[in-house]
Amino acid sequence: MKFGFQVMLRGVASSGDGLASIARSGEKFGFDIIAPNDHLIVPKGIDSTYPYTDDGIWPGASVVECHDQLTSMAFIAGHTDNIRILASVMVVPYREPVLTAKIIATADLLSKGRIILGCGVGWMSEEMEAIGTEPFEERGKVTDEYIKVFKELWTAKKPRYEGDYVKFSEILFKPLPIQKPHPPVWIGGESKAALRRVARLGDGWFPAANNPKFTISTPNDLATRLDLLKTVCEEEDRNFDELDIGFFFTGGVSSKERRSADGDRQLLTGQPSDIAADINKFNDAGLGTLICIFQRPELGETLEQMEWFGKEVIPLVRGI
Amino acid sequence: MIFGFGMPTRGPVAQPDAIKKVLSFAEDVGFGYVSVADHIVIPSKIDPVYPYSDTGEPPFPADGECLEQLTLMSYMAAITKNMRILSSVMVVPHRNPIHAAKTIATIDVLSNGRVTIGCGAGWMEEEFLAIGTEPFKERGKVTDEYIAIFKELWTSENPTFEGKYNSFSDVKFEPKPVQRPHPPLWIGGESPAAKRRAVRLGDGWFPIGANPNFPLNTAAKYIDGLSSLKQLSAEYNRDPEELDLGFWSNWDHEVKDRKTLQDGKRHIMTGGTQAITDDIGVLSEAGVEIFMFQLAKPTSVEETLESIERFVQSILTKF
Repeated sequence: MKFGFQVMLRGVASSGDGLASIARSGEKFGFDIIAPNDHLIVPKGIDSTYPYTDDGIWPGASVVECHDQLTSMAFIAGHTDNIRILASVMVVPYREPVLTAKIIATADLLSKGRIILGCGVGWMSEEMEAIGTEPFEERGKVTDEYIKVFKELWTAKKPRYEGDYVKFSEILFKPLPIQKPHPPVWIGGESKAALRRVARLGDGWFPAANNPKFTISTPNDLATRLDLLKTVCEEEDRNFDELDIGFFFTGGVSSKERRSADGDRQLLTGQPSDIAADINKFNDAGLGTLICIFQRPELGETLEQMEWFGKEVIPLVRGI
Repeated sequence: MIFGFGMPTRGPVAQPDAIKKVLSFAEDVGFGYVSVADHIVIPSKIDPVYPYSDTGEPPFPADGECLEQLTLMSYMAAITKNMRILSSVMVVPHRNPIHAAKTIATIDVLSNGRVTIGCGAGWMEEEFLAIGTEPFKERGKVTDEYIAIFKELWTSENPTFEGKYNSFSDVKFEPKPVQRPHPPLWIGGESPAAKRRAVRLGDGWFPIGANPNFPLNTAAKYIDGLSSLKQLSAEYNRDPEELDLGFWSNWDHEVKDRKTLQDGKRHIMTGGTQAITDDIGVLSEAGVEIFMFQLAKPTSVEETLESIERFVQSILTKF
């Protein structure tokens, strides 16, 4: 099992010192992965439906601060040696694909091969309009094409591409990423379309827990969805066993036990041994990498939460 | 005066360990700036119209190797404490302006206010086509509009813009850069159009001496260039004292006998330590504060460190 923590590129992670501190501490406390989020510009009125809350309203709307994800990943690379850096997730339509392929190859070289490219299609039409991306309604097709463009640039001897959105030929692209054939591409999203994208284009699947349409709250939920992914892989002639399986657990992770309405202990809360048992059940269900949130309004508290998890929980899961 | 040098974006010096070694040394010995050039992809066939060599042939490797500029600058921000990090220059049309504005603001905040954005309009049409930018022939207008967009996003509480190439409204752009009103924008280029852009939109003028179309390759020619800049300032009601002045000597300064093509005079910033020191003195007297030199040796980390050391001993310590 691998463990990571998401970083919202705002609040405690907004200053260079704060972000550096979180990254270095994460590495020190035994995490395998640091996972920053992606926003470029926050519109004031958001009508688009946020997929990850019941009311469809994005809790980040009032916060408005955000750093650029890929730029922050390069900064994190400069402050760390071993921890892997996962775009969680990069909204593929936001950025021009040839430039993005170059940025990621550069980050992979500078980090000595530690980039994982989580990819999403996006949900906020207002953000895409403000940036001036391809049409929001085409974000699925755009994402598919851009990912193909990345791979062409990263792997072809003489890259060329002619698609609906991108066209180039006779260009030189070097350096190639350190990782071969390229940084792993983890497809985010929980819908069947996302699963199909995993099978066709991904090296891994990286869903989140809290999509009300396809909630993944328990190991059983994950196993069920993985069964569907297996079926889709068969349809697409893709070997399911090749895929990395990640999971963004968006619920609270806490040393204080929490009970749900029906009296059960909420997963990932309570004693380290209970949490470790929860994680092992996810592992049994097929999970390879668990990403959680420890970020708090205060840096001290954030680091405390990370330290607790890294030192008390992770060793139990690993049987250390 | 402050000294700096360009870091290669290819070869053995453009590797993480080498970058750390070189910049840590450079910071220790007193360099104030490090700069990074801008290429995203290099087409395999290029028309030889590079403005900064006498033949028009660009100094590119045949394989097109280059690291991405802003990504490298962000990495450099992480591994340095005091040096300023300069894009030299950022080809403004290369990147979507909202993405670029956000990237630059991020580097500025994470570096605690150490980024300077040298800006250019670009020269390589084939690269523009490969990346998929706005039309090459509109690059001047594109550059002007994108710079206006940067400033709007960086300074406005409620950014709004309606332009030929981009429009947005009702957005928030936070955090604002640490530097106020925003990171300095130094306009590169030696032509009248570039000078006009510097005066209208820039916080500084950052020419290269070696443009055969507008040579600034003797101190006298630079002084002339500067006075035409000042005349333009008057026309545009801009106080010329507001403009940072930098000078980029992107050639081998250790050559002893280089003469200018135009008039057979000693090429500026060559010809031995004393001559270079004199050039720096003259330009400094005229108001130039930042002197960038081509110190790195792209094929060797050791040679790069030695080159930097030689510069420190022979020139930097004199000031």
